[in-house]
Amino acid sequence: MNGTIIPQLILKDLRLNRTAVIVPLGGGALGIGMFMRGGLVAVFGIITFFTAMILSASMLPTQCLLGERKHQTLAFLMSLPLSSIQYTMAKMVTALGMFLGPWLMLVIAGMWIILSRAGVPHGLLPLFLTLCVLVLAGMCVVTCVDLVSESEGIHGIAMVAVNVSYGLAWTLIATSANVRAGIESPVPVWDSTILSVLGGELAFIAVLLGLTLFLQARKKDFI
Amino acid sequence: MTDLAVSFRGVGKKYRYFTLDKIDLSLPQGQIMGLIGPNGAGKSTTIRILMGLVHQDSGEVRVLGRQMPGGQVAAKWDIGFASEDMRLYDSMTLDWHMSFMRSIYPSWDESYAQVLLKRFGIKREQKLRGFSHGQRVKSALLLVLARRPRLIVLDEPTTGLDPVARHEILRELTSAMADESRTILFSSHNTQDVEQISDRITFIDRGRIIDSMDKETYLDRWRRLRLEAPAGIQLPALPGIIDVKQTGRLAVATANAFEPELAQAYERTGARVQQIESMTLEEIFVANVEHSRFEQSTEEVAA
Repeated sequence: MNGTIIPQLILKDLRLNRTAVIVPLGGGALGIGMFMRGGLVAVFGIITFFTAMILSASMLPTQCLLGERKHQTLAFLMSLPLSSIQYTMAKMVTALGMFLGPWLMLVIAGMWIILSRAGVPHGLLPLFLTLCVLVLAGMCVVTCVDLVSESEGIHGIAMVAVNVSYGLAWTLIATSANVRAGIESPVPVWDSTILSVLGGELAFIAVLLGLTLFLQARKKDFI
Repeated sequence: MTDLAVSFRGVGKKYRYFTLDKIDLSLPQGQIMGLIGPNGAGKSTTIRILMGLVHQDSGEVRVLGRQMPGGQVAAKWDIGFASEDMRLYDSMTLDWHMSFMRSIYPSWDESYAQVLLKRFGIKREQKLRGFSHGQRVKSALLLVLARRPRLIVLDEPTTGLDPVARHEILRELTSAMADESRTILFSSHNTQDVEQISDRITFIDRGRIIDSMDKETYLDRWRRLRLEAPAGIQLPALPGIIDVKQTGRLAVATANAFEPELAQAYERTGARVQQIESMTLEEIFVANVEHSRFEQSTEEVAA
């Protein structure tokens, strides 16, 4: 018998983890709605928006990856015609795909607001994108750590580390003189600082995913 | 092609506190093998190596003609596996699980699945969360059997089941063997279950296969001899006897290669054979494990 069952596994996970998509999407939409009200509510809107995104980055790996081991369904999955590397690929595609869907919708909505709303400087766009990609990178870290470690304890440590690093990275990026200068600009300023950070984030994600596949392929004990 | 469904040759796996030691195991196609061992003997590790889920450190494993773990994807199309600690998705119905399996296996037999639903008395529209332990085991077995795999591997399938549920499971496994090309390997520490349906029996203890042969041979070769020794004489362990326990003049000798000549040999030493008893599989298992452990400790002391 030939063929791969990766598509069936992805569909299964989509069906089982719908709430992990719907809840953050709702939270993100609420944040955007609050932002559009303006004033102090807009600040809370931004916080709600990024909290929803970060919540999604935490919920998906927990439900999608650790859930299989916690609920002892991993043995059932691994009894299917599937290798450990195929399992890893299916889980990566599912977790990242399920995160990327709402993430992309929220990012597009955020960009649309920045570019269309009167009084919001377009110069915010590069910073906004950089911070959104940072959350994506954080989600990749948690996903990869969960896949390799398969441990709730290590997942917790990874989550704390990622959340702390969000704060540090956001402060570093937002307080950079170049970035601060660009924020108030009426047009988006893609200077070397922003491009370096964005490029670094994307390169980090690519290396992380590759490293995870490499480590999973070398695993000798899967259950 | 090979007529062996499962073949282990010198398979080893080392953990920090446990070692699977040079396992040799052969299971011909069309047979049921019971793998019996105490808790922590290595049954689950052996089965996980068989499934390609754990990679052996040494030795060769072939399952349905495929080298493991490399050939696990191809082999698992024809293997149905369920284990005592395996769970299905609690939030989903049995019907959803059946659809999931049907979407994967073209060999899924819906009419057989319907028959099994009736025989097991489980409802496909019910969520797994509402099932009892017995119903969960039956559901897992249904998902395995309705695929009609060539090899069925079950790790402690009857653990924790009530007698009626155990009987239903064993009856279904026996009827699955109506197809002569099908092979079953199942592990248990319940010797009654194994004795009931197995053709071949393998004993495993402390990571070593201590004995493996067909069931009838076990039951034929193992005997307990109740002896009365002459006063002041300690009866020896003759060839074929693995253990002699003597209290005063009364002795019990356990034979693992019984021949009628053995009783005559004891009589020649002056002993009187009071009784020759058949042994149950459980008694054979316990005697085998004790003998193996004694030999192992003797070897370790000698080394």
